[in-house]
Amino acid sequence: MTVLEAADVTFRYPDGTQALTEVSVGVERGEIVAVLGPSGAGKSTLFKCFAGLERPSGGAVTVEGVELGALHGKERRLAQHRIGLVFQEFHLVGRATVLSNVLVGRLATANPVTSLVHWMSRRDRTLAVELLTRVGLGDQVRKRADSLSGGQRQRVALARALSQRPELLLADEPVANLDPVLAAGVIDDIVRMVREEGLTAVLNLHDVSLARRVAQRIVGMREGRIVFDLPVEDVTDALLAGLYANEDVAANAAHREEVAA
Amino acid sequence: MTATIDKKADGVSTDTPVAAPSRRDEIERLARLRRPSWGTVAGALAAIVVLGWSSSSSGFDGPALVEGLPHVGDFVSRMFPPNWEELPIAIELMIETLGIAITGTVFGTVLSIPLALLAARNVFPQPWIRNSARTFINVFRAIPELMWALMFVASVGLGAFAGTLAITLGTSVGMARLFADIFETADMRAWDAAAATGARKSQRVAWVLLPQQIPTMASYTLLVLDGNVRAASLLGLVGAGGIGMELNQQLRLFEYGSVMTIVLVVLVVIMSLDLISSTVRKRFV
Repeated sequence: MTVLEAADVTFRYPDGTQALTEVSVGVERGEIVAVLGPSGAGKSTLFKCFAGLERPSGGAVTVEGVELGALHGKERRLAQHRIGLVFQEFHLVGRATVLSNVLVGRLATANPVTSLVHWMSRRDRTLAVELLTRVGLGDQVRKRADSLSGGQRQRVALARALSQRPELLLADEPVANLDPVLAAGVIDDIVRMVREEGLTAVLNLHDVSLARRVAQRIVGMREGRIVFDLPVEDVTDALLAGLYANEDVAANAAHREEVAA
Repeated sequence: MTATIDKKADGVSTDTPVAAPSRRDEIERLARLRRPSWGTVAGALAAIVVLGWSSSSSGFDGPALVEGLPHVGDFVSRMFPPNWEELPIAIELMIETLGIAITGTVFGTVLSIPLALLAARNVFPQPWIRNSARTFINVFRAIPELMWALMFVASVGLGAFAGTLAITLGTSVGMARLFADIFETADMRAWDAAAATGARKSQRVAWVLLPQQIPTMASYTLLVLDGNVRAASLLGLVGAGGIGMELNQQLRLFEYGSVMTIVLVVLVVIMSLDLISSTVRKRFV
């Protein structure tokens, strides 16, 4: 069954920059898909469209048959609650404890009044501590998030996303801010947790070896289009070389600047 | 050094002799920026005119100041020795003053938070909400606390309650403006991430925005408390409770020794509060 479906998704930023052109991709339940491509390929824009953070200019993104962009209010919040997100820069509340950062993932279904004074049910707290223990942060629960290392922070962010009990986990360059050794450890943890929870995952990566190691399928993107979409064993070095090739360095740099702007 | 460059330029390339003087032009152009612009000169002249006008309309008079100095000295000398019999009353009234200031600061701060949230663009992006909240804050902020005190004395009667209300109101609008600006400078990444989990806006305020900004908010609250103690010491002048009322009375009775005692009590309390709050604020930031 298809969990995530993008049909002819086109995305244009308000300044006219075309970030995505007719991108179509489907992700089956339980699949782990890596999206690869050079900077400026449109991976982050695609992530935002998948997550419902941006609405495509053309085409449609559906998660379990529901178009997130068309929802409003409570329906939209509950739909968003079923998608866990992990960001490149962690996006944690630095001054809050590790535990309260993870509990943020439970707010959508918590009591709207008592949760305002940080009162969360025992079930929610147990789940948060259990997830933190499973990502190896069991003894850091009461520490401030900004006292942790980069790898630990991303694990807190992962636990926050998983505490939503999502169907789908989306990660946008989750290890781009970490050194290679830490990066491999964090990616392995993400994939292990995704498998244990039986989730579907789409990971934006720029590191080819990491993508090959953890993904079942690789989607190659370049200049806002999908170049290939293949099972990991069919992704050849030649295909990857083509993905990252700079046959026209100047045009590529100009394009990159456009997208960054 | 220059000779070598010139020689090389003659021999190898014709670009260098052109480039070198143009660099000197650039240096001279940058050096010229040191001259004051017309705007600066006009601004300085305007400042002199404003100062001249305001000192004449404020009745500032050099000779009168010199003539009056002996009287000031006389006044100060009559304040010694302080009348220590006044001390118990002064302390009791200073406690009342502190009570007014602290109660007003606490209630004012609590009231200011919802107002500040309405006035913060990143919490309520709708311009009509932000603009009406900001207008409300600015209108009420334009009225000094002593004026509020006068109005509350007229409506709830003489005493500390009127003073507390005045401080509460003044603090709530003053802090609302401050807090709104603090909220607007917040890092919104965690806020956006919390929104993407499906958390409500009220929950995001309680779990993300306030935890992030509370140290800054607490630091400003202590600063405002300092100011409020000063303001509360004066409220008595209009009958709104605190130590000011007693000060006014003793002045009218020409009891300068008692005046000295009152001034000393105010001095000691405000200075120690200053010391405590700056020590505590250093720990926040």
